[in-house]
Amino acid sequence: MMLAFVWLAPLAGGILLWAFGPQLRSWAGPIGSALIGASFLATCALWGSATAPGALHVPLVSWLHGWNFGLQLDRLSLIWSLIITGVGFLIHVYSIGYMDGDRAFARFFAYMNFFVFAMLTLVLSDNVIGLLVGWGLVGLASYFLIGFWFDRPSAVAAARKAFVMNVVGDVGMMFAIFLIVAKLGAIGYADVFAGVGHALDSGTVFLICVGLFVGCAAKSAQVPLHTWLPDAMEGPTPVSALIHAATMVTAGVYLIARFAPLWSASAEAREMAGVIGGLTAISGAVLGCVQWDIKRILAYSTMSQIGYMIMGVGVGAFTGGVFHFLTHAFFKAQLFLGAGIIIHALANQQDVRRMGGLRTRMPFAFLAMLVGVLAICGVPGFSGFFSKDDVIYGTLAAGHPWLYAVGVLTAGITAYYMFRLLFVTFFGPYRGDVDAAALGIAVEPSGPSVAGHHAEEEEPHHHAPPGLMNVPVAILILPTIFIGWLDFGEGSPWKQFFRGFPGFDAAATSAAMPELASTGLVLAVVAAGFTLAYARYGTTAALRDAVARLRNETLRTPPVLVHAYYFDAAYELIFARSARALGSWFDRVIDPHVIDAGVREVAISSEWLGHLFRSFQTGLVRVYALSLVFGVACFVAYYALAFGVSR
Amino acid sequence: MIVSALVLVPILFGLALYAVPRRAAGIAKGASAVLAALVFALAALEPQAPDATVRWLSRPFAAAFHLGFGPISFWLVLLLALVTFSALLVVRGSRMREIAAQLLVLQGAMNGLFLAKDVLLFALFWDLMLLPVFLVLVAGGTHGRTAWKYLLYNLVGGLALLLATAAFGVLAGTTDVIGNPAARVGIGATWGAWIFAGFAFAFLIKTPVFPFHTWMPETYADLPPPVVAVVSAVQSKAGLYGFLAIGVPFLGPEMAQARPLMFVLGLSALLYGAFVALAERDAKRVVAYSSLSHLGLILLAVFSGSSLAYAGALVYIIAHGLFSAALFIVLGAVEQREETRDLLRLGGLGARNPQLAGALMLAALAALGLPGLAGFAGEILILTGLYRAGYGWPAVIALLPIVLAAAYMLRVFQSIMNGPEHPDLPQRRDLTWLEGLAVAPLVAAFVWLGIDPASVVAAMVAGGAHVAGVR
Repeated sequence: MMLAFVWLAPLAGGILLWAFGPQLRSWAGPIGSALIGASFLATCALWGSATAPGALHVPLVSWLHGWNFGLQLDRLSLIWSLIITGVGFLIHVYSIGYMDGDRAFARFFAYMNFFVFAMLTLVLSDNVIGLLVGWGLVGLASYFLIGFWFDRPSAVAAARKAFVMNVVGDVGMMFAIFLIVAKLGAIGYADVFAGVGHALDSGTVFLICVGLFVGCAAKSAQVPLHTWLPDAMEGPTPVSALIHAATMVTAGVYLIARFAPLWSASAEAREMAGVIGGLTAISGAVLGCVQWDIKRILAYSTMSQIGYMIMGVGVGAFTGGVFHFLTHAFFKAQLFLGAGIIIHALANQQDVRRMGGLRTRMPFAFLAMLVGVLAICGVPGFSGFFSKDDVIYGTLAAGHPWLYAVGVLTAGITAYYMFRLLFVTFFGPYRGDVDAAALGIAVEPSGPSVAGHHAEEEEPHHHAPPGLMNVPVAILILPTIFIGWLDFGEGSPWKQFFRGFPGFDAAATSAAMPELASTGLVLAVVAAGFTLAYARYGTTAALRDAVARLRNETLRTPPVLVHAYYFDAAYELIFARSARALGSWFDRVIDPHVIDAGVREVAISSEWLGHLFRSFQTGLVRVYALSLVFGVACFVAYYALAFGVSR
Repeated sequence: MIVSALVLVPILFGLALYAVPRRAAGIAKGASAVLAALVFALAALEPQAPDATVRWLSRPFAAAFHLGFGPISFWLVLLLALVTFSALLVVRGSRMREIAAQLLVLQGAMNGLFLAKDVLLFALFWDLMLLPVFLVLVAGGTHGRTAWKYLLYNLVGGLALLLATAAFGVLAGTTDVIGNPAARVGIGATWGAWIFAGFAFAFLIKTPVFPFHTWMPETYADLPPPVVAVVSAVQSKAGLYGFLAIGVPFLGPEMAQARPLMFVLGLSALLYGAFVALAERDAKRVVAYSSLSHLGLILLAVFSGSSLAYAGALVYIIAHGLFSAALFIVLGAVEQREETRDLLRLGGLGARNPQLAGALMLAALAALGLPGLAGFAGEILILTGLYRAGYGWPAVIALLPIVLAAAYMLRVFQSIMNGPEHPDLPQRRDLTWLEGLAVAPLVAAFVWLGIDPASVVAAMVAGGAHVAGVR
């Protein structure tokens, strides 16, 4: 019952706030937050039963034999549920301040609560179809929140793009479900895992993994289904923090970890996930280096970090990949909420070129961002250090030296773009009053950055952040720094926690170099990345000429990076435009001039029908049609009279 | 008694409405809605009602006025009653009385179609159910061409159906066979193929299935919203019901033979409809073409020979009925307020009409197959059934339109509700309570069916024993 409460309290909140939003007014925020908080506390109370042998299981409905739906809380879903409700609660509280005064304050919390419900459905489900239901519902919540300001065409387009790309993922998962049902006739995780090696041969296991991975790539913004994530930053910043950083986009990591027995059984699947994850990690990080919108920098960083996680769980380093999810949830939420404080205070300015010198104006935001940057870069002692090290070393231990190299290199790039962000935003002189052209910012509204657009639409009101926004950020600082110690050393509590979890122990470990040496290498590369960022953006000389230098960099960025490798343009051309063209060709040519004309031709060639069709204009047709009806009536009457009575 | 009442009372009541003075049209509408609700309650409470049989012919074959519930018809009668109720609530304008009357006649005729246990009776109700729709179109004055196109297409089908029925009766000795698996009728292969062709021709036109569909977009666009809601939701299922109730049990070998052709037609409809829906500007025509696409999927299921897919077909038949009725009712509300259905002219209504936007969103989500709603339940059952029965490629190809459906349904929603408000559009009030009352039961039903379709699935899986050749 407690589990049902955890699951349904956010849904109740969503419905309540949606239906009675106008009446509740400013109470919507506190009510929505309280329900998520209650859900978090209930989840904590379930710790014991979730970690007990056999976990916690609640059957719900059954469609037919083998299609049984239920909830289960085991160690993996427990971790996710705690993050969803815990970090979710903090972000709800933050939103009370951030969204204060918005016309649709209550609707915002309704959607946020609904999101938490959807995400819990995803992680608590005990079967593949329930998982897909959660998968679809989080996509819907994401759609609602990306398009939250639905009078903006850019937000509306971004929302649709995100939804449609995610349906591509859903369809991939449906393919996996076909295979599972075809082979097993059942949909429960337990049935699936029991079938590995028996009803599911290795080829089938690989195909199931491919289907699942399409879903994972779409939801977790893996190459080549990643292009919706940067656009998703159209949503309010707390949404970016909760959905597009901490929780929903990590669903792919959950998926692979959940299906660890399948991944462990298929070397090809591990190869695929590892390579795509690595590719995503490095290509996202490279794009992070050329962005100017603070949220888009963080978005590409999210894409890159999830690439790490997917690479980790993909190659079989399950505990490491899941641990990186945990630490990332804290430090990325921290970074987004810190960015939100800045955006809020600067009246929706998101372009870092128009910032600068904010260290002294907003010391708390600086502290928050600094801690987040140190954590994401993997500075020893901070949370990201432990988890990223786990993932990177895990690739080597699983026998993927190339992925290891990618992981190490990406760590350096990460340090570069994150410190670039920090220096440009917080150091040097404030550039908010500098002319846009002097910074090389194109004034046309169709650029990749939409920050200016926001600022123009709403009346500029500089205001200090309400204290309420600082509290969750301050709380997040603690885990951002310290949570990593959970996974310190060989027999760490984290590794103990997942000992014996289905599929987690299967990964082979045969490292080519000791872990300590690897850590040293990573740190050296990170230091190099930092040094480069410092030399370019942090030295006294660089800060003095910041305006000219930023202008230079803006103008000289390679177009291939500005356009994010032209993925969007290619998709627009190959899929969107050609599908619409085909559709309108069917509509304007095939339907009227081929099919309809063909039918008329056939009709005219037979004399009887020909009369009917040719008489459309003359009105004679009425006579024919009525005589047809009359004929039918006569037919019936004849039979009825001639035979009916005579038994 | 009860089953006859389900057919006759709506028809007689509908005809009686013409005696009501026009001044009292509102009362007539209210009374009709109450009647539809009563029909729903009666059918829901008395699913075990005994058959009504009056012997009718004995030469050249036995036939009877035989009505009774079967596992599929029970659900279709309920669906029809619910959709008719919702449609009646949103009937409006100067022709309120006539449209209400025709909706009731339509309900009675279609109840007859679904409850008929005699193929001849089925064929007669088939033609009868065309008339109310035709009369509504013709009486509108401006849609004469559409009306005749609708009637001619479907009467040509109806004629083929009648001829096939006569041949069936002569060869089998009786037409009183629906729902009676014991009556294994022996029809030779040669005649079987012709009889099947006659039935299939009628069913494919009525559904419609590509390439017999060109009457449909015009009919759907020109019919008043309440009537198109019923036609799209329920009348379009008559052919699919015919395949399930007559084709599967009695023409099994012919169904299997026709499978490759039907799969091609079904997949063509599925893809063709989805692509056209992507390009259409008229909101109602987008939904019309989306129906073409969705019903193509059900055609695949009907010809799959898999009981899992049959179960999915029934779930999806009901689901499509619920969400397409909701879509047409909400789009009718939009058109009535803004006086256009052009997606390029509409925009920004959501800001002032949150309830209208919510209703359209829910209906669109069900239509695009959001997991958790009824459309998804039907889709996943059909597709896994197809895959399991060995039709892997059709199942995989059928995944593509799901992505397209997301694109065109969101396009409809966003073009109407999102973006900046258009200052030149008339400003009208949000959803009225009557419109809300019309949409709410449809939404509740497709939410419920999406979460727990077990009772509908059971009707088909248990009924699967009735159906010959099911694995």
